[in-house]
Amino acid sequence: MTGDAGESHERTALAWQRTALALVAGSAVLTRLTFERLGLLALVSVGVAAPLGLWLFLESRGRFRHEAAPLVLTLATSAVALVEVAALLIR
Amino acid sequence: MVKHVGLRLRCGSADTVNGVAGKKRWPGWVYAAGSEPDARFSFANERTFLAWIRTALALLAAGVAVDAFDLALPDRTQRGLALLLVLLGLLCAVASWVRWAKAERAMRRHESLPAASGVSIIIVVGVVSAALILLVWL
Repeated sequence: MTGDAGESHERTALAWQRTALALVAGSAVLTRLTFERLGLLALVSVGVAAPLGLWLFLESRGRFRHEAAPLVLTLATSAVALVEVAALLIR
Repeated sequence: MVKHVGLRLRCGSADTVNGVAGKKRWPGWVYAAGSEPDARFSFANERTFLAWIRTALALLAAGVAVDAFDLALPDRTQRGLALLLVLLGLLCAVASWVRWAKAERAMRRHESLPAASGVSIIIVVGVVSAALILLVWL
């Protein structure tokens, strides 16, 4: 496997990076929008997504892939979703 | 080119049953049996997973937007609509991981890829109903 035709490693890393960026940006906006209703609970959104998103961003550039990365991203996305669910139910 | 050293390890020989250098890989129900597929196939599987996650994020963003803006809707309807979109996003996020894991497992075992689950139908029906509710009320 010399040279990866189509540079699929690179394309996959870029896909991870733009997904991580979208997650972190979205989680920050959600914290901002729900802070009045949820108070400190709103911080769960950006508090979970930012560190995990940063880890996924850096991890995707590495030579050795982490098999847990997809689950970590799914859980971070779910945490953000649950904060919005809480905001909708509390109001 | 240094980058590809990891790739070479990753797509080890066909008798590598449980990953790189005998290290146990998680989750076991995906990695316990079979052999390492071509790394490009695994990467493609990951990119499909990521595309689904971005779909989930878009559904969440739609739900948050419906919640954040004051629409000319009854309050309960607006909240219900936002809740519908956010729950679809949550479902989509979980389903995308399950789809990724099942596809990886099937590729390792040289089986045919799993059939599409009903989740995409549920998402399409949910989004279309949300759009219809908005159209009728606004």
